[in-house]
Amino acid sequence: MAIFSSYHLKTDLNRRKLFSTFVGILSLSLLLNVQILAAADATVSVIVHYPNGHVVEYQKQNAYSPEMIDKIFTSKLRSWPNGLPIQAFILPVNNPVHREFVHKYLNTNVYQIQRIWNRLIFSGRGIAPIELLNEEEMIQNVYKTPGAVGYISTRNLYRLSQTSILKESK
Amino acid sequence: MFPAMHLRNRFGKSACRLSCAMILASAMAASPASAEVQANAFISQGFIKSYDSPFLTKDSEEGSFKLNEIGLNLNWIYNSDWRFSGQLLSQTFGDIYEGEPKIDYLLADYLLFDNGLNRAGIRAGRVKTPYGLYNDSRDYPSSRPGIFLPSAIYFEGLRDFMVSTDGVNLYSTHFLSGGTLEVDAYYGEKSSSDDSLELYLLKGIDNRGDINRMRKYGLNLYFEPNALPSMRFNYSYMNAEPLIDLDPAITGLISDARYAVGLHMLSAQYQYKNHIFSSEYMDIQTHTDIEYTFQPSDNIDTKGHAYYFQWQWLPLPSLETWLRYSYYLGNNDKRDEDNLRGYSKVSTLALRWHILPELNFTAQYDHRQGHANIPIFPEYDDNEMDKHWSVLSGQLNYHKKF
Repeated sequence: MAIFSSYHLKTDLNRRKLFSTFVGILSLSLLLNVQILAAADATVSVIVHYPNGHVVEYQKQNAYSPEMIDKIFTSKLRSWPNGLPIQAFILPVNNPVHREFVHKYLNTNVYQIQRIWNRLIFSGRGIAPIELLNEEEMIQNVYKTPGAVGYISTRNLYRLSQTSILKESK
Repeated sequence: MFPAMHLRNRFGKSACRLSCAMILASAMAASPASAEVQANAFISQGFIKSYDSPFLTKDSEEGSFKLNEIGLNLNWIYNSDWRFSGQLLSQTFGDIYEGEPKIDYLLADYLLFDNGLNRAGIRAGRVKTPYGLYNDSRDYPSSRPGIFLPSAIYFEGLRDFMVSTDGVNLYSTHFLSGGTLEVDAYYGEKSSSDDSLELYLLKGIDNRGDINRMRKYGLNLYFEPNALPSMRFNYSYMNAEPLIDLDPAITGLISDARYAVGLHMLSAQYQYKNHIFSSEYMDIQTHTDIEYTFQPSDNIDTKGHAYYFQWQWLPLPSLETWLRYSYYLGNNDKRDEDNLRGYSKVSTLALRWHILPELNFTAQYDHRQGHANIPIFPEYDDNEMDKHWSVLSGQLNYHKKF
């Protein structure tokens, strides 16, 4: 009986140690993540390479429905109604514009959407959207790729007309 | 103590081979913005410590680092119809898998048609098995809900047989008025040079026969309703028949032995803000035929079931947590808890901290009752297993895109 009690005591102590370890890891994570919370504040707009060759804000065009955005960025929808292949571009996971886009347009969080893309990549079922370095690259790539779709911060939408003018002048 | 030297040598060899492959991949891959070739690599190193029973290796009660994965993945889009994809993987999983590089999958994908609303194609080669919410991406550490998937549903001890099939996979996607439907059907065989299936089915008694191949076919339906965009449903059916080569020493008594298992699984997932609730329920039906030389044959049918409930919560942008309860009962007619390998009840707490976008750390604690579906390692001894036991594990994962 004494051995039995001592065994239970030992097991109990072990479990308390495990619990303390878990609480420790959780506290550390909470502490180190507080700064990241403050960074996530941006307003985002989806842009698309329109059939006429211009890049326009997705909400201000009539050819494609708003419901398609979610299907495109989860790689379910892979061609436009006219048969042109869709090429989706994304920004890095720690970019506030990317976080806002995932939250606002895909109604999920960056790790859940990353899991959907990882499922495609690591199961051989398909490929994920192409990750670009920044908004500058995003604008350039959407311009030069027919069928492309991406997103930028709303305050940078004015650059679409500038890039369009530059392109036409060439 | 830990067999550090041995571990380093083993780890070093596979790491060296895969490093060469990674250099090759980075040379093949064009700029990061290329759609033609995408290469991804990952490496993870874990630690396991079990209490009151060994887990994966007989050394786990002292603590063991025999838990690592190195993978290299390539996707090559040849043109709009053809795509090629493959993954090289090295896994050290206690004493079950010892780090030898293996081809995880290698396939050619041909798009039969795509009219926007409907798309269909065929994959051939070694294709991943679509089964439940997590099976086809279970090799990538950051895709798993914690370090280990719920064994009640995903049969951790039979990972190689579960994860892929050498054969064909027909797939299609349909945008319907009610929602999005993805359909997969597959047929093929899977062989493995290790003894995991033999150990699993014959409990390590190696003088009965060899079981290194399994015939598989199945169907997977995935549905996202338009009316409930935060809900996902999945149905999986898998029929698996291990091909048993009887040992000549016993063929005088048993002329033939056949075993088949049919798995039906329903999955549901619901997301509300930073909370994701998932549940999967599996119905298990087995059929065994043993034909004896000198007596009537035996036909044994069993039915069992398994399920889990999981709550995932993201309290912070870089922190994921999981709370899960899973249950497995191999035979509904044998509910006694004396047979430790016949059932399991597992409560799991796990968290993942995304230190950097490419780097994360995962910790998992399992409180376990019963030993069903626990991988059987060499020197596994039923007498060493306690009814109540627990496992603490940690894993550092690094992922790189080329």
